[in-house]
Amino acid sequence: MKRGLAIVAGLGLLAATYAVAATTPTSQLVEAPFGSRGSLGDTVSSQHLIATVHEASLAHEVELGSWRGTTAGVWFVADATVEATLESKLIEVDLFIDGVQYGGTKRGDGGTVDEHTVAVRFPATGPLLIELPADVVNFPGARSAVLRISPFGDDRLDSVVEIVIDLTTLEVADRVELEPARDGSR
Amino acid sequence: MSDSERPVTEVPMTWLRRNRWFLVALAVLIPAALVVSLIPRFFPYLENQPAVIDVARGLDERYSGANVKLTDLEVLDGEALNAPAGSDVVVATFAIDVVDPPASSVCTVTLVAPIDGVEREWDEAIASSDYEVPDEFEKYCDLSEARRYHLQLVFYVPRGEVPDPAIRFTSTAAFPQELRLH
Repeated sequence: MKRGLAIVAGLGLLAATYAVAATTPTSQLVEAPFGSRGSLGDTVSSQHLIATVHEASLAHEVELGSWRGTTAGVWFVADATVEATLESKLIEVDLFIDGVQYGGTKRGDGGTVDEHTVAVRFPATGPLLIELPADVVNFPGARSAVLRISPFGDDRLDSVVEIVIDLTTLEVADRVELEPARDGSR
Repeated sequence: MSDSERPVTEVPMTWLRRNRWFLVALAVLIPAALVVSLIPRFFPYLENQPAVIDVARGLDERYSGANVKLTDLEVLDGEALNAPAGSDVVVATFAIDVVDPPASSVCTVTLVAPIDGVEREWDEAIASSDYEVPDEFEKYCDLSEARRYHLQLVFYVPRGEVPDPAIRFTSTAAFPQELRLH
């Protein structure tokens, strides 16, 4: 009787150990930033930034000032207004699809909003450009992609703006012409 | 019947009485364990919090090996100076006497002011306006060599929203102390 109980208790403890190991959150999850979420058109505030993503689309080619952006994939193109809440910030944008991170392009010749420093009460308005795989709309997570707008640098445990976007509903253009980012609101 | 002849009745010990020393030990050890757990992160965090030294305009304050004095802080009409849309121009003038320069330091000067009850901060101006810093003033804060100079910095702030700004003056050599010049 006692031996049976010991075996059952041992197996139970092993199962409990497995459950604990299997459900322990990863450091990525534990240190994830706190996202203030919204949709296209919403003005969303985080601790550091106030951002509005007015509209978004996909394009095979973009023209930004004198820069012409071609890609083997597809461009995610958004028009956004961003300002700082407490102090001047250089900003960073990333799009998350199925947990995969796609960063804002640095090829935009300084014309995108995320290549600007934004200050308190001095918003900047202009394009955000992110290069994505050509078949991105077929990805399982394409309906709930998350555009994260955060201060440049390490955003672990920080406060960020997140806009949830259904990429499958976006218009796909062959070519779009964009104005470089400028000071002020839309 | 004398006291010595009276029968002794045994009082049963309560649970609390039986365990009193263990409970006393717990009362000491639990707070001690909490304090010990805070040592690696929380206490260094507290020590690194900015220690603000408030200094009134026109007064010298010894900071990071220099005597620092805010001699003037003016908010100018941005529209009249063709400043960026929606901005006013703030001109801050300092007298700095570097007496004992630190081996290495980076000096940072920002403008702070409350809006809606929360302190906000602006960096030195990058954009241009009709206001130009006169030639007799330095345009960059530098505490690396012993000398006396006058410094003037320009800031743009949201128009009409910063009537009473202050200056936050920091040096990496004096961290976490910082000056708040009013």
